[in-house]
Amino acid sequence: MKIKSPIVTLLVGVLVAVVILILSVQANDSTGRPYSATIPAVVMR
Amino acid sequence: MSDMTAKNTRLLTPIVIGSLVSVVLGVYGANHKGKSIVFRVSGFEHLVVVKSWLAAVAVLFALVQFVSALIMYGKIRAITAPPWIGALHRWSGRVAFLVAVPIGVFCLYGIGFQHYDTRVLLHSLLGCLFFGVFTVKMLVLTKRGIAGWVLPVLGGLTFTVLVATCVTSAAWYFSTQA
Repeated sequence: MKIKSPIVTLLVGVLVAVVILILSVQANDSTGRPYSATIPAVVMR
Repeated sequence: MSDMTAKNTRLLTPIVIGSLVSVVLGVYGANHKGKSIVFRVSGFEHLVVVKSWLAAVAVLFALVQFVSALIMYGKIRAITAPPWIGALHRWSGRVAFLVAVPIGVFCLYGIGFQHYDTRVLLHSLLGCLFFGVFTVKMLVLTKRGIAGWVLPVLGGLTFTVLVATCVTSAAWYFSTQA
């Protein structure tokens, strides 16, 4: 079954959102402080 | 069932799903306690700066999509649609959306649905609405035999909501706070 490109766009958007959210929550948990480092900081490490 | 009714019925599922997306995002933002986000990139330490610049990029690509749509539909008579205009239209839309996704995450996770003044309330509502309208447009694109006015209306609505979302946030920030 071929997945149509608009659906792929939506799925990629959801994937990006989930990745950012996971990284934010993980960074938040690891520091124990009330903020998260998120993607730019994670990438720079 | 008439032919027109059958065509309109095909829009029902995308509209319901898009509405659910908007409502779920709004409810999540309203119930999630915002956690401020700190960036460690020089000049972008504050969430509002990151979001504002990402929003400016999203609007730029949305403008490209808007103009390319006008050319495709023959609304700018001085320009004949080149063969690559469809690809430009699709890719500018994809980029605008993918740039808008982190903004949405940062807003909802980092701040949450806020309503302490009219501008902020409008921004929160429009932000949730944008992802719903965009979802409707993407789902409608997969349908065949829909009425000819549907896609231009949805495209115009998506563009308008995105620009209004940015006017109530990034444009406000650049004009008053930066």
